[in-house]
Amino acid sequence: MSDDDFWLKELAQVHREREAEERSRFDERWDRLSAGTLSPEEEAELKALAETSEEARVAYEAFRPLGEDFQARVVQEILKRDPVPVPKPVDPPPPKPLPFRPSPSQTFHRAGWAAAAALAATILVFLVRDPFSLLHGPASYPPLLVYTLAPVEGDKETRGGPEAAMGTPVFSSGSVLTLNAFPERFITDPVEAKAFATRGAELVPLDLQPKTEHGAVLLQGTLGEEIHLSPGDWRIWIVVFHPGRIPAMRELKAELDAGRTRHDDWEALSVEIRVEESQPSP
Amino acid sequence: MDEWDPEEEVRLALAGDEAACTRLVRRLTPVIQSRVTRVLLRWRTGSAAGREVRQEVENLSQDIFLYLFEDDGKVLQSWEPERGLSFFNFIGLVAVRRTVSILRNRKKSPWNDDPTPPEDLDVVAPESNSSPEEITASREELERLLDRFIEELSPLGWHLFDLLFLREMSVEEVVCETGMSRDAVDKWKSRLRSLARRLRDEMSKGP
Repeated sequence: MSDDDFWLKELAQVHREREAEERSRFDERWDRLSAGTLSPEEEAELKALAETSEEARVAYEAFRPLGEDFQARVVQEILKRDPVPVPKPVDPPPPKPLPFRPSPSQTFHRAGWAAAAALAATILVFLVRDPFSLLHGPASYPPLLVYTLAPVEGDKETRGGPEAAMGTPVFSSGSVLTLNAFPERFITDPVEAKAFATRGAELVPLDLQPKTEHGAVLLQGTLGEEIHLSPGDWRIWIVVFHPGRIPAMRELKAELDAGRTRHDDWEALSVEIRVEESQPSP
Repeated sequence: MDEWDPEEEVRLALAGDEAACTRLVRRLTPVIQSRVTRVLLRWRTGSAAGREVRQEVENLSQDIFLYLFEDDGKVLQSWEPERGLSFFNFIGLVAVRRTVSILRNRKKSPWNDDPTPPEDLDVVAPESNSSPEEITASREELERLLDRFIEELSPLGWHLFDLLFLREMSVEEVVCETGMSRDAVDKWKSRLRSLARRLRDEMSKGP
């Protein structure tokens, strides 16, 4: 470990200890005292505590809400400044239709093609807004619909063996990797998606991230160009989630390691692939 | 569920909309007050029991609000939601940083007759096999270094420090968490190391 990293870790440790010490002196009730959200019982507890020591008395005075008079004075001070016209953010233009077309070098598996055709038929039939989205605002989402990952086509498939299940798609540099994930029906609630690769405990974020359109998710990129994975067996993950509702990566990995891939606000789908060294041209 | 849009509220408040400004101040007062108070009570040393801490909390909290809005709201407008820091955590970090800076740089402590203002603590480099007094001083040095670190780091810098060193996430995990490139995260790691090194060197040279 470098000297600098040693100091940074020491600083982190001091910060943790400081926070722990502070929380034991002044737990979260004190923050809620400032926010005015204590229950009557909690307020009575802190008032009683304030009478037991000078430190607690001073703390009670300091954390007690600053009140409307303070806020009004602050607002008046702020309004003395010249106003700043900040332009409203412009909504991004609507995305171009996703090119859900196979590249000339690919052929879709018949079952995958049938699934895509079925979804297209569903879209044609359900050309109305999802009734849930009419009832629920964007801040309150119904549980995420169940997603399906279309079969993934590689350059070839493994023949099985100890390292990879039979039928694992194989890719090499220059191959196009395409992952399509579909909800069980057409939706209008916004969803986002993230992609990464894992190999045992190793986690590799992908430079290329999936695109979404009406709930459908597409990850498509060329190995060695947009997608960089060393040779070997990988599990490619796509996580579909309601905006802002994906857990932090560490928690997410723990959930996935425990086999939990679906929650009300997110679902993780995955496929195993094998990346092979490119054979040099003869 | 609350639909409050902090970016829109900031935009309106900066444009002089009194109602938006009032709403913003009302929402931010508890988090600013709480962070200011925690820093102030930690810095409070000695036996200044009669000191009017509430006035100091009000003064510092008001200072932080004005700081957020100064220079055409530069600090407020610097929040980037996609970096993973919530608006309230961002404001809280700014409040802590600003309070530490004010308290450290004041020529006169708010408690004039405080017998042991933080600036007068001796600086001792940490060594192995140290005596209890030296270990205490080392801890004090680290605390001061931490305060300087907090003061110098931007909210984004602190967020990266939190992810990389407090939560001990790998660079790959931080890339996934923040959406930053690996290069950007590596650069931040270097910046954090350089900052720690510079502050240590400054402190070891003394005032």
